Amino acid sequence: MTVLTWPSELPKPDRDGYQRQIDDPRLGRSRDAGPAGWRRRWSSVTKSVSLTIDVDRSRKAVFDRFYEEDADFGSNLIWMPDPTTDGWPLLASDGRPLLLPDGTPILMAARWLCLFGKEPPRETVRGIRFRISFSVTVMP
Amino acid sequence: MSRRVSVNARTAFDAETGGDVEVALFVFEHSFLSEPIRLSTDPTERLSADPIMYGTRSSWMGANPVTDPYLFVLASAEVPGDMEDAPASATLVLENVDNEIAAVLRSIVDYATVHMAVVLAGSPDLIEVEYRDLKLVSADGDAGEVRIAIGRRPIEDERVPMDRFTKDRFPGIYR
Repeated sequence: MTVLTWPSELPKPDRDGYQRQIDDPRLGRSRDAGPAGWRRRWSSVTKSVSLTIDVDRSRKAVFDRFYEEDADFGSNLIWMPDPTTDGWPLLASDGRPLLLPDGTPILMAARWLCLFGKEPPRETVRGIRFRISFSVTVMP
Repeated sequence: MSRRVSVNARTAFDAETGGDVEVALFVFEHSFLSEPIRLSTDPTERLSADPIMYGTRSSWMGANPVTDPYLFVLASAEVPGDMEDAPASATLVLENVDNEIAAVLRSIVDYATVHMAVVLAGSPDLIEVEYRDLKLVSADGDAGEVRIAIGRRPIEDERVPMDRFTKDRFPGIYR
């Protein structure tokens, strides 16, 4: 089994549908009274990320085929570009982007090894475009 | 029974909050296996992405941490207890994710040898608690999980009659 690659035809996720949460790796100390206490339960921590993409009809077909056939309804692993890092310019400490000698900014690259999350993708129509919201679990 | 436990572990147990992650390591040995199976209950680090594997690197039982890591399994473990009049026995509950698990467990007819240890994820080479030479005495399960019982060899397996207290065999009691 090879790990799938996220289709490059699909656009970057929207800002307004983005949500990221760390899956809690802690174990609570159960007590009758007093302050709460926690300890770690396991080492590697997954993160749940909700993403939304806004696509036209042909890109929707790309997503549907990827989800249903390639990823086997979301049961296979995917390499996906990290939308919060990949393609962002590398900044110096004063906030200016680092540039190559010809003036193009140096971009960062990062990818997630992830699985589709618990909820299957959900799509709505807005005008002639489709909004597909889905969640992924980023593996540690 | 008293047992020596490292200061780091005692500090972690006594901590009001926080503390290190405890990891149970298992080694299964059997004459059918070309090399021992090493299992861990904590996904300490990702060993490979394709296929996806997590594991703990420890040098316990002479394992080379680079080439023979302890692989993470979806398991929960119960370490042997300190009961006074019961044999030490442990339970390993595996998620039944693959039919192959049942086939492998049914394919052996004699007991596999199991070694267990508890380490902290921060100091995987320092053994806090260790149980050696236990036997895999039973494995039963259903569609969801497989329970592997680990303990001493059942006394029903001992031969009858047992040793007789003759002068040849036990000279010390005939002094």
